[in-house]
Amino acid sequence: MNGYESAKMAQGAYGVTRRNFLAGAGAAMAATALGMAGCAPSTQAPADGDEAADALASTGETTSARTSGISDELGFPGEEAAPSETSYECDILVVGAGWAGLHAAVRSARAGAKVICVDKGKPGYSGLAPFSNSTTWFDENFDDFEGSVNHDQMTGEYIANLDWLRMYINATPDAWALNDELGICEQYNSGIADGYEHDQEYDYFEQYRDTSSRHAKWLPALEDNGVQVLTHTMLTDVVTEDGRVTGAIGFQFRSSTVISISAKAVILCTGPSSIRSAGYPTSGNTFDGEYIAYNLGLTILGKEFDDFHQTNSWAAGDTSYNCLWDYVQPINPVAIFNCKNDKEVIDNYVIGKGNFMIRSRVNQALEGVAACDGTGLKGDHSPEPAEGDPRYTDYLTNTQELTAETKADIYGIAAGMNAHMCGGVYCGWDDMDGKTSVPGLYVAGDGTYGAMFLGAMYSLGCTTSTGCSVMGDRSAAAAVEYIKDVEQVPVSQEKIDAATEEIFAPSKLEKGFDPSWARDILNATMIAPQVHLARTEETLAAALNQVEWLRDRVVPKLMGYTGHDLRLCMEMKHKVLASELKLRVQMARKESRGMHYRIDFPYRDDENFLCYMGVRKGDDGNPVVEKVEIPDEWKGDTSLDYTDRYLWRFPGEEEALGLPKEEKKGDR
Amino acid sequence: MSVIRKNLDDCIGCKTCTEICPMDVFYFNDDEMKSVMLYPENCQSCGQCYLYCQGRSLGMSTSQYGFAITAGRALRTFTELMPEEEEKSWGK
Repeated sequence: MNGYESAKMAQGAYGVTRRNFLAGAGAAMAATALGMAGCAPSTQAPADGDEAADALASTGETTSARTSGISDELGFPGEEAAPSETSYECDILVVGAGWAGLHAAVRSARAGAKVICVDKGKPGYSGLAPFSNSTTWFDENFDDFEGSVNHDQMTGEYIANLDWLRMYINATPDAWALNDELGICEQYNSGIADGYEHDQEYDYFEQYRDTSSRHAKWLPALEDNGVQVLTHTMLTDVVTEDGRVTGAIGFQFRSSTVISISAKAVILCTGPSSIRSAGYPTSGNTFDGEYIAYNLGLTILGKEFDDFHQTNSWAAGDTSYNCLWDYVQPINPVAIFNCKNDKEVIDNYVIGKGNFMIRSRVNQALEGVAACDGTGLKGDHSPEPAEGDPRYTDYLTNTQELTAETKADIYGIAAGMNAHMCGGVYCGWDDMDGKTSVPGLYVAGDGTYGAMFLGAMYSLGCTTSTGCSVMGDRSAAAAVEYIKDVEQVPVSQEKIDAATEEIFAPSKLEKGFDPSWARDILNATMIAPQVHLARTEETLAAALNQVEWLRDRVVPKLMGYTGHDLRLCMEMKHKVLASELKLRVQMARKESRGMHYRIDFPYRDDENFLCYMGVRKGDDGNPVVEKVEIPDEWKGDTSLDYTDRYLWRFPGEEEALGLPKEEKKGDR
Repeated sequence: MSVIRKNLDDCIGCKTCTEICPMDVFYFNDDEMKSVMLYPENCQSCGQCYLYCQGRSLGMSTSQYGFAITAGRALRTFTELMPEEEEKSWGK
């Protein structure tokens, strides 16, 4: 008997084949506890004994990526057993357990609601929350409230939601207090101060891991507050009946199990997402919340303001430089609201931000990228903290010492990721709570709630963790009020069946495409510099053509036979939609502003685009891009000269507007 | 950039990597009490598995497993999980 035949025999001994399981099921596929538990592939030892198991392990044909000789890894051990429970019920369902989800869940539970929190991984280690390295809160003894607002208004290019910003600044001390209480922002000496170098020293890690790991505290922070957490579960649908939320459907991919959750309210905290290659740790989020929101008819803002992130050729994707560092550091408080309300201070800040965050990167796309020659990025240009400010740590100084050795010369590793806090579902400018127009549905967090308080770029850095925390707090308070008058409705079997059929569709194909292959094709389209960083109508239209092909001819043919691959198929579907929406919005905004640069319109056009561009699903099922007007109070003084309103130039802007050439600062 | 297995013997079967990987790279073999690095092509090189591995069994490599971009590629997968052919479909 050869290896293949042994594997086949072992397959029989392990229970039903995938094909038989799916073909025979029909309505029985529905996620009832009894049905799924009985039919799920099991990891029990086969009746035939060890020989079959050994044969399976040694066939070599055991993973979707394995070739012989790469490793001594054991073979496919089978999927996990299905959970004993597949039907859940709660008052408030929180989707995602990052900063926003943590706050939404804990605050809701403390207010007396029965809360379930679903996460695609394990809280504390999934999404972008593990990589946070800074936070901030307002301290009236040291900070300048109006100065901060004015910094944000001008840096955000006059479309920042200043109303939400003012509320947020005042809300940050309470948001910080919870994080402090939960122990996830513990402060201790920085690794650099202790002499740690970024060369994979295990001893320091183990000391940190065993005593201070904030990641390990995340799940207990939820569970100790009475939140039921479902890990390794991808939320696939939010269910509505008569237009209001009644619950959700999810996929526990490690066991290929569909679960349903009846909920009076749902708070989506699915985080910022990106279209990225494997090997760059810029999030495992894949526009899941955006996909759900869009298909419920909600308007998405900010897709054109793309913060492409960077790494370096010296250690491209090197976790030690780019990420490891952030793990072993405490979450460092930064004094970001001490932005003096002084014109010269503000102007210098705005120019610094524009050059650092946009001009230099766009120039890379146009002119090429300089080799890493050891020249350093000289850290950030945040305002200097005041003497005696208790939030000030050695962080900034030490960061600059680290970056003096290296240089970021690879750009665009997280295509499609909104500038932090610069994108998400539009809830109306009167809204402060992430309350969407679907009763019972709330949004919170980066990339999910489009409060747009930083405008067209990441105007006030270090605001993401407390920004998400405040959003979580607000949405929880609103949801807790809402559920008081709402009845529990079970998720209908019809909806579960429909979702199940869609989730498992890729497993019925014998011919089709690998979702990881589709990812590479999408990446090649969306990360190309003429699409990602420096665009024209033609380059965007060309990319849209590619993406529409993927949408129509590839996504429906994605194959997946394991829960892992079925997850990848859904993620590709979400990423393709997100790509299409982004391209359409970028084509519609025919100007440059903040993180959105167009070669063919290299200037700001206040007359036509001092607004947001929202995209929603039209009645015919196609995306509709519309302007979303903003209050005049946010727009600053529109009577000022152009060069007094906009202090830094996009490449080509001077020529396009007939402005005098200025000395270029900050080009690399 | 990807996780690599430095030495499988050093894996103590604590399941940490399996639980914490956000990209579902690791599964677990209960019989052998070892984690299985099943989907390295989805590794995002965040390094959490490497950092938190109790046995120092894992490392990080600057190279990444992947395929060259082609005009099409089917799913390479576990043989025993593929759909069974119900009829021959050559030429159809």
